[in-house]
Amino acid sequence: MSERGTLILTLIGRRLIALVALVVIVSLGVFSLLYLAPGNAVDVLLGHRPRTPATVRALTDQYHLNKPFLDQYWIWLEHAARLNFGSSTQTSLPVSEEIRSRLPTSLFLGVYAFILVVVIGVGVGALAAMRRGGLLDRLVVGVSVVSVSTPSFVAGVVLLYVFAVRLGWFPVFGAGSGFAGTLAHLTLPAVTLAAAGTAFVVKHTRAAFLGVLDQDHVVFAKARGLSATRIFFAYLLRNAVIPIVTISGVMLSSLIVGAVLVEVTFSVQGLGQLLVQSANAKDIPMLQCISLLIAVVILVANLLADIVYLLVDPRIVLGRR
Amino acid sequence: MKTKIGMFVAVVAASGMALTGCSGSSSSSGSPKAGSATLRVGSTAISTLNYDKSNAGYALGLGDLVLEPLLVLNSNNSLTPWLARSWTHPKPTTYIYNIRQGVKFADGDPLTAADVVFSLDYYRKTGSANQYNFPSDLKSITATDPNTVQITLSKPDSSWAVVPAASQLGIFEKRFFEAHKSTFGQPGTGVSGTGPWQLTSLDPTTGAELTANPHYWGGQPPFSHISWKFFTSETDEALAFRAGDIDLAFPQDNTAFATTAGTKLLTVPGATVVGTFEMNVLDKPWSDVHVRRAVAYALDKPALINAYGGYAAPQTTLITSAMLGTVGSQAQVQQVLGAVPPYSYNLAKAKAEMQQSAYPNGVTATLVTDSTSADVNISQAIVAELQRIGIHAKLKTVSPDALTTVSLGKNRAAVPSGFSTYGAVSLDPGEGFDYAMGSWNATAGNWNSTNWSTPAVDQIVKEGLATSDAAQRMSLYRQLLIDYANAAPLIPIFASETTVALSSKYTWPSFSSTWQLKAPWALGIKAAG
Repeated sequence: MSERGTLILTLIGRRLIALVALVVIVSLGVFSLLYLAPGNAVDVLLGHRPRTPATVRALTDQYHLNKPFLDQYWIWLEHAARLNFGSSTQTSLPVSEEIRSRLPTSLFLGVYAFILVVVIGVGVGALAAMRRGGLLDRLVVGVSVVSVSTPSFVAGVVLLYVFAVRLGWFPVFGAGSGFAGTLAHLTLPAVTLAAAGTAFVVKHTRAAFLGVLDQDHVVFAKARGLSATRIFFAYLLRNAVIPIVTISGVMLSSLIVGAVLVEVTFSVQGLGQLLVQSANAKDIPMLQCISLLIAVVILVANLLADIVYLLVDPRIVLGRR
Repeated sequence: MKTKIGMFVAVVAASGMALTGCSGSSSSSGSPKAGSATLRVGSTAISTLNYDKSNAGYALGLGDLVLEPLLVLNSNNSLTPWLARSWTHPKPTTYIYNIRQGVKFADGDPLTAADVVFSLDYYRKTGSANQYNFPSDLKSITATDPNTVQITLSKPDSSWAVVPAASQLGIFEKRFFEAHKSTFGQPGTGVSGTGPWQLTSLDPTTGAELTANPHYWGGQPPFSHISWKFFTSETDEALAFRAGDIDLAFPQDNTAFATTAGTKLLTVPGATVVGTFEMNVLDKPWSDVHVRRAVAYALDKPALINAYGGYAAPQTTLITSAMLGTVGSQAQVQQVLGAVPPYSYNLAKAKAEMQQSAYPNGVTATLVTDSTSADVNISQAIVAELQRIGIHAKLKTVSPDALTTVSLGKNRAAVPSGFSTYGAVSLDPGEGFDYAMGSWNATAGNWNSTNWSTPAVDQIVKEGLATSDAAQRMSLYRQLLIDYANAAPLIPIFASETTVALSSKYTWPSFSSTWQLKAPWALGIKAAG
């Protein structure tokens, strides 16, 4: 096996060990914060309906709310180790099913937005760098500032009103079904979600390209008469994309699990919304599972970024010089 | 109290007005025409139709189309037969219901008394979220034969009469439940009911689909299909309505919905949701009755309704005229309301009351509201109005959960004062708001947030439920309302209107504040023109 292949496998192994430790730390942290927060799940569950002492007692026993903190955590951990994350206190449905029903939508939306961010962000950023100082460059910078400054729910409502309600080009709500249906339903949400990230990537790509454009090896390649396409892909992009890869891991994970405002705006049932609803309802079983999932998504996304890093830049041997 | 109890509107049971047994009619109200149209409805998500676990199924109206109660209300808000073709009340502690023959569940199995007993026992079991619907003196529910159900109370209680008409106590099939115990009501399983529609699919992330029940005892439903979509916010729902993707929705924030949807809502006078300013009498300055009366005179109700966002009418009593009307005639209702001191807006009288109080030179106080924008708006308007009579109130906003916690807490003196809405759990004037009245409810875990009551009020609340005599009950509630007005622990401000957003393709002539109690509600929707 090549040295790079060995490096990648070693990297994956180390990250998996880190994942286990992280999962335990995150779960304990989330459990502690929920335990300390005011209010309890029974009050949220019963809301403002009249309640009988028997109902309160039964629900308290059901969710072990009368047990000490560590006992509650241990009960949860025992079940979680067997991949039994319990039932949602809000909906009474199994936590794993609730997450399973929303995960594909969040993944589709996150990956769709990520592709838009990378393709448009890198493409436009590169173009702006190569037309530095020109009208296009100034336009790109201006639009980027507006994009990053506009809250996603504002952009979302505007896009929804114009393109879905008035023009009827896209569906108004929901995630659709089937690949084509989902693509149509999630285009406006993905564009909304990608807007701020794209502006960020444009800025970084432009800066990275500007740093590489004046390098000696690029000047030499031009002098040798290599085609513009070859210079772009082999000399410019490969060197300039390294900082983009660095941030892409964080960006991908935040697009998958942090899209709550976009999900609410477009009525898309995803993980972000589930997280916020569960936090409001002090739905401990759901919150625990989503927190763990977020930790896994972040770790996997960053691992993928590091692997791409290794593949893109052969000089990097991660941890070894 | 700062908690919004509007959800109770969805669980209102009928009045105890017509307690005599009625010979049943053999069909539902009107004969629904056969139809091939699809009605498209929008709401927030529903995760289960197991009412033991969640009330969203009936609160949002979906469950009402699948599961039916024993009785419903007619257009006069009187009890009328439904799954029970008749009922009798042979003794003060006994009710007997005769089950309608020929009623079938969606799977073709016949409805029997055993299904009724099983369903009601399920709803009232210890720990059930629906247990509060049943009076504590309910002794037993038994099937005396395949078509007869007997209710036995340990003592006379007129609040039982309305319980069988509660939309949250819809009858389901016992056999179906036993075959799907662990997943009953959940996506993939659903429920088996006698309603005009059957649940074909339920997905909490997208919506539900209902198809016409081929065995429905009331004839062909007007819609062959109901497509129910779930939305994460009312803005989305309103936009979908505007785009013509849904035909009907029940908005919570009426003003925002109507504006975003570009539609005029269908509105009717409300009967069961009352906005109030409540004062904890264990806390200063609200412990002073002159301060409370000063507040009553100082509140400009039309202005406060505007601040709230409209869709409400001024209200002078907690128990509404519609609720009293289920016990007495309109003339009797007017007589009762006429006897209650009205506290019309009058700053001079308000200031005069303050002069008689322990704070003639003014006082500071803290009001608490939850963070719902409408509640915050009206609370700010109340602060401004109290300022004019020397009450310098500071407004604090907290999350609904935090407000619930402190309102139900052991330290009753710490229960906050401020704006709150009350939702009646019944149209019966005794049962409707009794969860918030009486000294026994001024305790931890209960909802008498003013902590006010007197031995006389306690007695009235008990006596009102112990008798079925209409004249006696009207007299009791007259005195109750007078006592409340004189002590003024809470000031009714408005009664919320009941609203619906309905596509111009349809009309709903029978829409009223008790729409959920008048048979499966979608039977009343007709094509326009």
